[in-house]
Amino acid sequence: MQPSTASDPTLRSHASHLGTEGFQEHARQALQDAPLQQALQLLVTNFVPRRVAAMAALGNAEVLRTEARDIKERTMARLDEYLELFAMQAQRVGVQVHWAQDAAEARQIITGIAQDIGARVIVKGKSMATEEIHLNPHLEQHGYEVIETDLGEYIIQLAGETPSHIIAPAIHKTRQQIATLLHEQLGTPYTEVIPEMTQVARRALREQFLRADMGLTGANFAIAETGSLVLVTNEGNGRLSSTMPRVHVALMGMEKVIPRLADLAVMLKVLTNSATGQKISSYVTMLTGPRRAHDLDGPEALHVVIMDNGRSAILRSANREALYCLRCGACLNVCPIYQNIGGHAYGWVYPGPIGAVLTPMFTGLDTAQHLPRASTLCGACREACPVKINIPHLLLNLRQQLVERHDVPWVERALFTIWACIMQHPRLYKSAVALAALAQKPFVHHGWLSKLPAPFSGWTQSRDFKAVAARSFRQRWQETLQHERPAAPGVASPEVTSHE
Amino acid sequence: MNGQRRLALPLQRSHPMSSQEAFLARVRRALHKEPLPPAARPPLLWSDQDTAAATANLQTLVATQRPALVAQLQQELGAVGGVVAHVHSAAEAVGYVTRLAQEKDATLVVRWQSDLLDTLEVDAALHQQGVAVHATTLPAEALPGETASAVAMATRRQELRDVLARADLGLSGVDYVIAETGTLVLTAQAGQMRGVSLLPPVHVAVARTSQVIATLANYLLLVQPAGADLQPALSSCVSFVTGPSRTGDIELKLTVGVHGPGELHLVLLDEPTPE
Repeated sequence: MQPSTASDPTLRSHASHLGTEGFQEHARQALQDAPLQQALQLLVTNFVPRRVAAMAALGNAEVLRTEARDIKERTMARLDEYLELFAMQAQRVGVQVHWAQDAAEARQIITGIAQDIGARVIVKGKSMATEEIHLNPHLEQHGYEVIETDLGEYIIQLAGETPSHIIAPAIHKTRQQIATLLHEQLGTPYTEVIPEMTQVARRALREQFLRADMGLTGANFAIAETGSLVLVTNEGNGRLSSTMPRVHVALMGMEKVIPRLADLAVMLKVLTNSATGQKISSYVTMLTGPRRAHDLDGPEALHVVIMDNGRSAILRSANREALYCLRCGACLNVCPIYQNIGGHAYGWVYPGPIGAVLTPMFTGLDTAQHLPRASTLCGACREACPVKINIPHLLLNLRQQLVERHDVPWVERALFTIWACIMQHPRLYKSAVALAALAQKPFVHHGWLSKLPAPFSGWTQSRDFKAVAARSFRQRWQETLQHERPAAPGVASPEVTSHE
Repeated sequence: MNGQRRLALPLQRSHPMSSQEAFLARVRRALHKEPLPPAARPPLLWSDQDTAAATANLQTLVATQRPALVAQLQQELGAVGGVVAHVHSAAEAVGYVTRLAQEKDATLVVRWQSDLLDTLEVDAALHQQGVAVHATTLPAEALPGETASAVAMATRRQELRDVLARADLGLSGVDYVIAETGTLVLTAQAGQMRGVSLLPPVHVAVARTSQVIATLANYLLLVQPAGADLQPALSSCVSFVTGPSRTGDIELKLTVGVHGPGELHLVLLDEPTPE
């Protein structure tokens, strides 16, 4: 195992501290973490081309993305009514529906159910919603044994860490690290052969599925028309968690509802193709109520906990479309920032571009103000998103909020005030450019400014700036007009229309 | 309740649980919605096609396209690591299952109770090889169309759970097979346990080619009786199964058989359905 600071489990387990300094520190460590960089490289070379090929093979990916977005738009516009319909239909088939305003309430409801049914062992299918409310430590505090059963989640639970990717939670760990972990934690013989490691986990977890009293999962979709829950997995952890224990509890964010059964076909297609490049996942399970009287297996009770936890505030805001997110992880894989620093540096459960939008909205702009800024706004995330969330736009909205709250350094504010003034006055602009061309002279090297004095030093610390050209575009334009094509009468002069 | 449970920290129910009304009122406020009288509201479940006509179309379409769909199904399921055996007689189908059981050194097979599997008489063939077969039947005392007593069901469930945990091979039918993605559609019904396709390391499903349909959208249309309340038509659990259980959680290397079966076989019986 290679020693590295950022792989230190104690650091990782505390990755949920936010703040600009924490982010910068984590990012710096991540960049020097060789195994992590190797893993991130794997993501880029695997997930990205697979998704691109899968979407291309669909032939009508654009139509599907538009349809999926349309379904989400319709749902959010009348979310209260769809939630009400879902609850009514679910109750008709015996589902017990609970409403949680915030994380504390969701934890309380779930712990309450566990207590009521006298549970001791809880198996969990993969769920980001339960990560969001930090459910495991809470349940453990109350004396329950909680076992993650998604292989990736199980690995990081054994390591005492947190997920670093929405759908590949243990992507930051090498096979050697995992081999050591399984050997030490389970006492099984050391093996680096992945299928053997997988079988070790299968045997250990099968035992847990058979002894568990309660299964805890998230939900990928909740169908209002039928009151059904849909779980999407490849391993079967969702199926086993919702089949073997006598009680199944599903925690879902309130935005997971979709109107009609027919909508599932479109939503599922964009989800799995975007997440893993699969036409469909190995297992898609649609649950409509607990087991019926004549069913020979399945849980005797099914509870659904519908959670707000800050989502209604997002619904109210200009960033409503952040709620369209299906948690497919496609935006992570294509993001130049995520590709370099991985998931933990983001400091909260949702990493990557969508995490940079959701984290400040869930945890407060104060603690996470660095995240909207940690983006190049290149737009790769928007292109990859199965429901066309305009993530760069949402990040700009958040940046705007920061500016409006004067949460920017005075130097930056002063500079932009001056800039705005110059941009609004053509004459002033002309003189400013001329002045800049003169003032830059001592700093220009081969047409680039690579080291500027304060207050510009921050910019040139990590990137170069193209030097102001000797002759401005306006000058050259004027010359061209004079020499080649004298302006025809009646044509507006570029002096008036140009927005250089 | 045992002693250990009482040692758990007491739950703090300091503020009352938010009711459905309070929750939905908050959502409504966030939406700034104009309150419309119920009659003026557009339908929540809009219709973008004539469901009845589409369903009728579907039946004729699928019948004419079946050979192409079967080919597509083989291609798609094969691509995700499933094995498709296209057979032309009941004897061939049974032969495939018994050979596979032998290959896997199976001693216990657990199977759905279904008309197709009963017709094939696969049990007798397996018994001949010394393989025990356990069908997931309802308790003996239950008469057809009648629900067994809760006690009898509970006993039977426990019994079958133990069988499932030991079984080497699970044998099931299917409701439909979806060609577009190579997906088996399995619904939980009386006699059709979820666990048969989930717990054993090998899952074999037997289907007739007449059960092959084109897309998931088609399936959703088929379970949706036109204009009717469709909820009662849905089983408590519909499983869409596409290939063996798989994971990429260690270094993104594809590995099969992590929780569900590591092998999935589809025996596709291509013979005229007796009218």
